[in-house]
Amino acid sequence: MLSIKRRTVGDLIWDVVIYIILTFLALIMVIPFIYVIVASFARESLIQITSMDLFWKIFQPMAGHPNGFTLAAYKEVFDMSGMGMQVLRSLGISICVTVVGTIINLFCSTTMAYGLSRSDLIGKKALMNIVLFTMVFSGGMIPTFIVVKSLGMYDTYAALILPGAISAYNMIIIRNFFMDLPAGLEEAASIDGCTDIGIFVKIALPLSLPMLATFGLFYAVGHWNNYFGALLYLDDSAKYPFQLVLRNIVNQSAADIDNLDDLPPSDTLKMAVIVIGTVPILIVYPFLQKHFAAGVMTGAIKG
Amino acid sequence: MAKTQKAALSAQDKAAAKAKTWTKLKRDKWMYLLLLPGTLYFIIFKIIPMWGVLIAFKDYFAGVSFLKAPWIGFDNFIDFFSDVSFWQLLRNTLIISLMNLIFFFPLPIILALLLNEIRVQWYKKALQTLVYVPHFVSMVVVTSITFMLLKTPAMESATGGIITELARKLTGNPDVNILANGPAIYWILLLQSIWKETGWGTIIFLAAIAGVDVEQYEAAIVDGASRFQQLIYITFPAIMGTIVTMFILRMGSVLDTGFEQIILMQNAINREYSETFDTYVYQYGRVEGNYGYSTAVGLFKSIISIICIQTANRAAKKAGQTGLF
Amino acid sequence: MKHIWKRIVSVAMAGAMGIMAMGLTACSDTVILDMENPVITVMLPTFQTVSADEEGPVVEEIERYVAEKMGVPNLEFELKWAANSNYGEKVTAAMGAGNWPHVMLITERTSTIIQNSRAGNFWDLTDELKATTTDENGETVYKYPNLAETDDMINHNISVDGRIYGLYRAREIGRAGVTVRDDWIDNLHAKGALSFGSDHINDITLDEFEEMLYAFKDDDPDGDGQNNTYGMVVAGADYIAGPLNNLVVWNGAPNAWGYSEEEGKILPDYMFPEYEEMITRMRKWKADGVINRDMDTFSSTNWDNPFLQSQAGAIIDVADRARRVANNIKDLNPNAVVDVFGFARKSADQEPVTLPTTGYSGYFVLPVASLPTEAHRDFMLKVMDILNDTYVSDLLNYGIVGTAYEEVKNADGSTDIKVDPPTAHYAIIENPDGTKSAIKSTDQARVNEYNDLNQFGMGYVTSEITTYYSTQVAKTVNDVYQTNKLYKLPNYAEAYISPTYSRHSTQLDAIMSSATTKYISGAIDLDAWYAERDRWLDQGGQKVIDEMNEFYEADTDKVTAESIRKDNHKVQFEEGVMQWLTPEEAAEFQREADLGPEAAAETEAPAEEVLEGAAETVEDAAAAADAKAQAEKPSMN
Repeated sequence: MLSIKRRTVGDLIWDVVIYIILTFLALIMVIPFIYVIVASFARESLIQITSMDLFWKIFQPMAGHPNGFTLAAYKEVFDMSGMGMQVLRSLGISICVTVVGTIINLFCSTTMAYGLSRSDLIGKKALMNIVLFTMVFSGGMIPTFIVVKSLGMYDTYAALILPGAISAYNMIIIRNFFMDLPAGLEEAASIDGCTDIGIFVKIALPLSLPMLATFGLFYAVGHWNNYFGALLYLDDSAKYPFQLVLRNIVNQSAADIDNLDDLPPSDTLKMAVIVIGTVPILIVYPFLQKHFAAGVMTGAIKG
Repeated sequence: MAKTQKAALSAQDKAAAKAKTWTKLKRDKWMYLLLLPGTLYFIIFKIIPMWGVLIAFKDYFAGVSFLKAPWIGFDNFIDFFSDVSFWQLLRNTLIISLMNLIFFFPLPIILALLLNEIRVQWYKKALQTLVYVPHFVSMVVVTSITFMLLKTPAMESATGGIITELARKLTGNPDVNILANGPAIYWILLLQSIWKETGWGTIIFLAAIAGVDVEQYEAAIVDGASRFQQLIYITFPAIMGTIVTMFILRMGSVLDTGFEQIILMQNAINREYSETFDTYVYQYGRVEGNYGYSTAVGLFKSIISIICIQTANRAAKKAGQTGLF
Repeated sequence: MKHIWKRIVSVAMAGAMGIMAMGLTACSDTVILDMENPVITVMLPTFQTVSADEEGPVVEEIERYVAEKMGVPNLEFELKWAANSNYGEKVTAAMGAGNWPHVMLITERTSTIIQNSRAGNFWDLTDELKATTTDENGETVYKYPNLAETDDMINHNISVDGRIYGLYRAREIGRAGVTVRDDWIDNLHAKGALSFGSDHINDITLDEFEEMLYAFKDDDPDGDGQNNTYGMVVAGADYIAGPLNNLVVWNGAPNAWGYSEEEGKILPDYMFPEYEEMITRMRKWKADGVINRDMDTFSSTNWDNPFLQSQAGAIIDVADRARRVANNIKDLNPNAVVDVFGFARKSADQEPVTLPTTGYSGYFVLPVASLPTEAHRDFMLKVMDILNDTYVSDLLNYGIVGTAYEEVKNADGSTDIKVDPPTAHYAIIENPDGTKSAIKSTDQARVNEYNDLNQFGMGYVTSEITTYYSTQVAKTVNDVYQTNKLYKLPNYAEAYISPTYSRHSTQLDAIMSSATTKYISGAIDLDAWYAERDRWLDQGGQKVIDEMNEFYEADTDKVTAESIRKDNHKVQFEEGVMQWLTPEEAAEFQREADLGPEAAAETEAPAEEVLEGAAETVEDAAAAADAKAQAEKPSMN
């Protein structure tokens, strides 16, 4: 609102240039995804012979058909006697793992980050070094697998969540956010008789909502896209999350198939599965956006 | 540094320090409780499996007992360093990674700053959502779209991809074939990464910008600062801490190029420019199951990472930033 | 700073020691097979989005059948599916963590698998496959009659240091084929632009093949008056080997490794003049625009596209590609006719040579950890033997048999057949030529009940059922397989594992495939190609050659030109193809065949008995018919 009041000619040009640049960028970013969406509605043979011109060719008549548009891929994905059950079940599993996993991630990361943000804590430095050390050095897949198995988590959803409960990378950035919080607030609170946990819950966390939203999103997307954990730790294919089902379909090419009677999944089916796998996580972002805006408000309160 | 510290602690100080330590520990008991879950996590899932690095010094294959696998000292490392393609791998890894650092790293910051300039809220939100879409497009799709844009025609009468056709018109050379140009792979990989991850990378900086004190802008406006000046003198310095943190962390992965993207783009012509440590280890270590070797390469990469992080951290501190630790 | 790192390292080391103990105890998680009440865990890759349910009717029927034959009250299979694209990683992880199933499919012979075989983690089956035992009548019979049917050549191919550690899954050996536009050939022939018509395609020479490619480019095969077609699509970016290996084999070079008379040892194909000659010819094709101009960057994922768009007229790959292409091209160009053939000959008076597959796709291993004693091993082998009964292998491939009751014509001209009872998955129909085909139920829910179960099939005993295809080209594909088999050229070094090659295969292969692609595409000349070949020799290639020859020398069962000729001619004789046989050979085969029944009689009787037992337990008429067909088979060999 302030900016409207004090708009100069220079600011106006600045605005116009930025709007043009960003709109152009946004188009470049989104056109390939739109292509994926369009391809998911196209006849298989049409995808085979077109490239970017699919955008208009899909509406042109083709041999024996009024146009290249078809819902066949979606019908196949949601065919309850075919893969429909598995797709829906795995979507449900993915959503649950993502929600529970993200909550655990945020809990573990913020508590640890807050603990590490206190500069004069004894042992902080050693712990921080352990974190940095493990960020760079890792024991590898097999030793971690053995730990997971020894804890009885093999073939359970816990194996998808706990081995990645904290990303050292995210935790360090969260810690830096906490360190930037004004020290005065915490001191005031501790004089009021709050324990450290009280300060953390009542003051530090509410002040870091944009940060929580950001890392919540990072973790959520991490869970949503994770297929490797499921591949390693799950035995029962009924427990597969969506990404593993998706990968099984999308990464399947004719060259891998040695059984003569099997055909690879069609490209249009692959595209439809990608669309179905992307839309739920895309929807999350607008909901979190209002918390990014809320950050500005806390900034105002701070002063 | 450690030595001078030790020397400073004389005997009589020690007792006092001990008492002080005890009160501090007691005072911070709740903090330790907060640290508990995270610490347990790091011990169980990160420290305990650390014995895996010993595999680098063994002739170990999955399925063969770890204890029975013979110790072979530094053979895996020697094998790696004396590999005829070692220098080629190092060159490609560094070029791909450094190009990424130089050209890609600043872009999310710039984009975040520009997005912040959009004052129409719904449009800003829409743009933000759109730019982060590519992050979710699978690499297989990115590759096939790249081929669509760059492909050369299969015969004289056909047309190629949009970019190839454009390059032909601009250069007047009818034989432009970007995909068959070895070093062009560096730029293709860079542009793919930029396209896919720039928008996603803005999120962290947007969150940092959201935390900037509004009063500072108000004061600046009163002083007659233009929008561009506000950006340079208020917003940018305010997110400098985040930028530095991100940079230091990024230095930790200087030898990481990933393998999926590169393997998808690899062909017979560009292989000598596109084979990196990660693609090589993927083939030789993960696909073949040669864990001793791939762990050795991983260990080598980790040591380089730790040196890079330390250097970057020290440089940041020297430059007056808080640094990471 | 420093001492902190030290501390961390020492903590890590201490943890390591503690956990190593844990790691060892973790091995005890492997469930040892209970032979009284067996629950058999099987690790398999999946290709379909929905794999067969363990509780489904097909798996239950298999379990019932196997339990009965094993004489146990109850038997269960626990199928551990893993997506094919990541199957190798899953196998490695399971082995690394000591999580052994009872049977595991190995899809690739990686260093890990070789090392595990040598370390004795898999049962050595060399002496078991054809082991004999004495039955109650005192006659010597095969212990595992179906496993005894395994092919010696393929067993040799999967062996490690001469020992066999697995049960391979048999696959079509003559799979190579050229997919072509039949209507184009006829158009060109009618115009006089081509010296032969589509009926000659099964018997063309390399020169005629070349003539055809050039005509596809130059003589407007689609008759639209435009120069918008070319000869053949080659995917040089990632799979030049497909077309290349076929072409060089047709031209007389070996299949990967062959014996050089001049050198007196086995050498890789690129050391042979015939190879050089062929790639030089391909270079000319590429320069003339007969091969797609973007060959060097063209990826095999798009291989069909130029063909579907009616731009290119030929693809050299597997024959079954024709089936898929024919299916997809209908939609775009209803007039297109797709055909397929197996090979081109170097000259008209020369016996054809074809590029075979390895004949197997992965093999099952029996881990010692989960099958600790010989009794366990024998139990499992017996189960695997029963799985090869025609009855079970048909269940794995097609599900439960029913009868066909209604024919439904689809809009696109294909036929679907309804199957009765509704719980059945396929029906047998008799083809006009007297052979039998399986028509699959069109009900997707039914098909899901046996989806991917074919991954568990080994196919040692040929079923008389083949999948029913409604299109002509699909039938031709089967003919191509059969013909190709008569002229197959095996790889002399298939079974040998050169340590240098295992260590450096990635780089070594990359050198030659890059060099050859560059040479064909015109980026480098022949001298540069020689230089690259020398680099290949320098960087380990020479060592690979030396190691391979050591194996070859030591091999008592080695492949030689003589052994190939004898094998192929014998098969030709059995199939009634006499064209290439010398009269002496024909006479000898005839003599063997005459002696055959008597020699085979010893093993025939018990085999029949076992199978009659099968027929009693299986009331199904079709299964009994299969069993009888199988009983007749030994006498043929």
